[in-house]
Amino acid sequence: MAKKKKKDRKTFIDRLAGVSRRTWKYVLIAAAAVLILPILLDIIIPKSRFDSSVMSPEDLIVIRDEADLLSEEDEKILYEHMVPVTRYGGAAFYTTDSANGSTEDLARKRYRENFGTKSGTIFVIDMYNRYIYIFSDGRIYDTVTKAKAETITDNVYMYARHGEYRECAVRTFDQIAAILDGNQIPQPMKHISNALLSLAFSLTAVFIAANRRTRMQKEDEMTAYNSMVRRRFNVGSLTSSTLVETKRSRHYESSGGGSYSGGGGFSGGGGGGGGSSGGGGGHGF
Amino acid sequence: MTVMRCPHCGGEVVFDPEGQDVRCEYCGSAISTDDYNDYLESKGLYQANELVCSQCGARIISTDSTVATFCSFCGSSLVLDSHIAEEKRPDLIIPFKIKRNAAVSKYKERIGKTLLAPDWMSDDDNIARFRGIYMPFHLFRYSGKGTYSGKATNTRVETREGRKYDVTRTYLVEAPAEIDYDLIPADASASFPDPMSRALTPYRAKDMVDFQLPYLSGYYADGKDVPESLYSTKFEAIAKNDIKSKSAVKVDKLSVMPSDVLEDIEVSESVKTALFPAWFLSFRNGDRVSYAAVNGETGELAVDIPIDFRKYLAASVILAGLVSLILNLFFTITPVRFMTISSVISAVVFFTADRLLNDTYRQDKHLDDPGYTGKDTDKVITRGKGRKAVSIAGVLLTGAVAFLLSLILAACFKGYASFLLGFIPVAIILYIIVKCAIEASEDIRIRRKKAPFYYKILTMIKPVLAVLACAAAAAVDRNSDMLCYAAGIFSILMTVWTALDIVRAQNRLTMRALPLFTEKRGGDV
Ligand SMILES: [Zn+2]
Ligand SMILES: [Zn+2]
Repeated sequence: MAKKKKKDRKTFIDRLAGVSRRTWKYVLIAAAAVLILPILLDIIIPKSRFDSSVMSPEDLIVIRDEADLLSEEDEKILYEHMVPVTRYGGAAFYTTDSANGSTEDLARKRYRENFGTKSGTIFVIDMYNRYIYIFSDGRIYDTVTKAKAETITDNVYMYARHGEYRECAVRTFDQIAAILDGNQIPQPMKHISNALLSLAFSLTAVFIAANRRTRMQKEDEMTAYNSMVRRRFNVGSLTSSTLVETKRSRHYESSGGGSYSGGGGFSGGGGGGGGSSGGGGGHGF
Repeated sequence: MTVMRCPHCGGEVVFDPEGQDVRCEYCGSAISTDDYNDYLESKGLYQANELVCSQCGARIISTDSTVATFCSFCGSSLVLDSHIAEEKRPDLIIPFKIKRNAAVSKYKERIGKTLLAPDWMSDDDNIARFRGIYMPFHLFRYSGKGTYSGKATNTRVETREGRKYDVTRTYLVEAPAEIDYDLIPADASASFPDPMSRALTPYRAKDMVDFQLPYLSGYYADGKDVPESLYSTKFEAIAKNDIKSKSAVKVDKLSVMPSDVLEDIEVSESVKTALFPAWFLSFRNGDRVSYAAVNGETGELAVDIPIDFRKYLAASVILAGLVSLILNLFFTITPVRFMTISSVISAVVFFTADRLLNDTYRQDKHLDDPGYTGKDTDKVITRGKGRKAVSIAGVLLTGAVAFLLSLILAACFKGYASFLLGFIPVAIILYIIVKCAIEASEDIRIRRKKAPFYYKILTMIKPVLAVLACAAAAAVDRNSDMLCYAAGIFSILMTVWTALDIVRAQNRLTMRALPLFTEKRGGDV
């Protein structure tokens, strides 16, 4: 059974090695195309923006102030500041003051509820954990990365600490919009970095994979020695022997045999009624 | 010309591995080697045809009349200088057990399984050059007989006053003793690279028989040209270490230490010469040569397979296409992730290069081939058992220190983008420092066998710069995409450059420098 399996694998590799030159060439061209095509497409085709005509801003903007941090007026102002973000996807603002686990999990959960896996961003003020969090996905996440989100929350947390929640939220969405508009990640760079990364990885991986069993396995000099050497070492019967030295040392047994269990029932003064003949089952140690 | 002729018809005879006898190619008669040897000896045929390569100086002995058209050791097709010479009869021989076809198919199978093997390695014209060659070996023997007069001990448990004691009694004893360590093999050929003959070992003593000339018919023998004196001190030391490492032997209920006996008995050295069989093939490639060989007794294959550069690039591009597709479809590679993955690849490349460059250095300097340099570089092999454990502990300790250092670094640069980005350069630099410190403290004889700093620096500096660039970019401004991309691309280019260096190094290892006649070689007299 195992033997047969081995044989199968061998034929597979043989077949792989025996693929014709032309097939190799086609596979090669296809692979090169996969590497280069995305880069070319990015350069040639102008960037298509998020199609906001399908959805009105009302569907893309969600404000749920469960912790009641904002006034009606505040919410209207915030809404205006969230609109620019909707050119790239959904925008949600959420506050809470009850225990809901980590803010990150909460943000993710609320995001999925509102936008699913579509492009968008959510800003959460968690009064229970006293934590603010930005979660993004899809196209917006390409730009507003984890690092960017951390930078933004870094910039605005002081407002939350001082109770200026509207200012905190407004500035957050302003900065998100600024990053999205600046669109600091040029799309081609993403594909170039993907292509380069794949290439470096493959050059290394192919080398390591191909490098097995390509060099002679230099046996240790001792292997050759041990494989052949014939050893003979004999000492015959003694013709004389004289005792010159005797050394004594306490013998320590390795296994704890014969430990006497504590000589129980030796009753103080009373004349020794037979039985307990001096306990002390000592053990060498 | 010393052609072995059939006693019956006068045709040429060849040794047949299957029947272990001599066959006539014309009348088909089979003659046992004993009979044939007697026949030859009666004719006084002890001479052989000696071919000397004008390119590399290899001496090949042949008993056939066919003119050799190429040299097996350098692949050169120059006409070999051929003359009849008196050859010293070797004492022992392991006759060929593996037939040519079996050796060739074993070789073909391995090449077929190696995707990146160059096409010329499976070229039938090249494979046709497989030659059966007997490699000369010195077989050392260290033996001595005498009277041992020294200590012997006896330890037993005795009870006195209810207490147990270990009582060790030491006696001065006299006893006849005998030490005999025989058949210690050492490569006696300067033409065969030592690493290659070592890759072919082990040969087995049980197949060894007394030498008879007919075993050579149809095969070649490499001339013995490394004097036994080159190895004798080394193997004497090895044998002595071996004896000393034996535990006590019991003689008449007394324990005697072998090391004590060794000190007491005069051990003398004697050497025999033996021939071991190998199927041998060499490929000439510009000024490099690569070898393949099959152990003619066990069928063990030893082959150096270079990487075909075009196949390597093609395979890499195909894999890259696949990986790139997956990246584009399923992952978002942010600039920081780009730098992090690039750093990881750089680290892999760094350690691969480190290992390979040590090997190329050793090979360039022929440090593993005392038969080539005529110098025995490692006198005694004493391998401390704890060494491996020590080096593993060292690696773990270095890793732990690097871990702590990068934690401190991460604390310094608030919210460090990615832990690996800091850890990798710290670990690599620490590794370099620790290694340099260890090497500086080592004995000069050991140090001379390792690749020195300047030898590796040009290759090794590239991945180091790569990881440093990424870490620096992350530390300066991890939010600047342009900076991160620039560092990442720089790092990737350095890594790709190093990877190509590594492939070149690998091919330097698998294709050795052409042996040259003018170079110093051991035992040329
Ligand atoms: Zn005949
Ligand atoms: Zn030659």
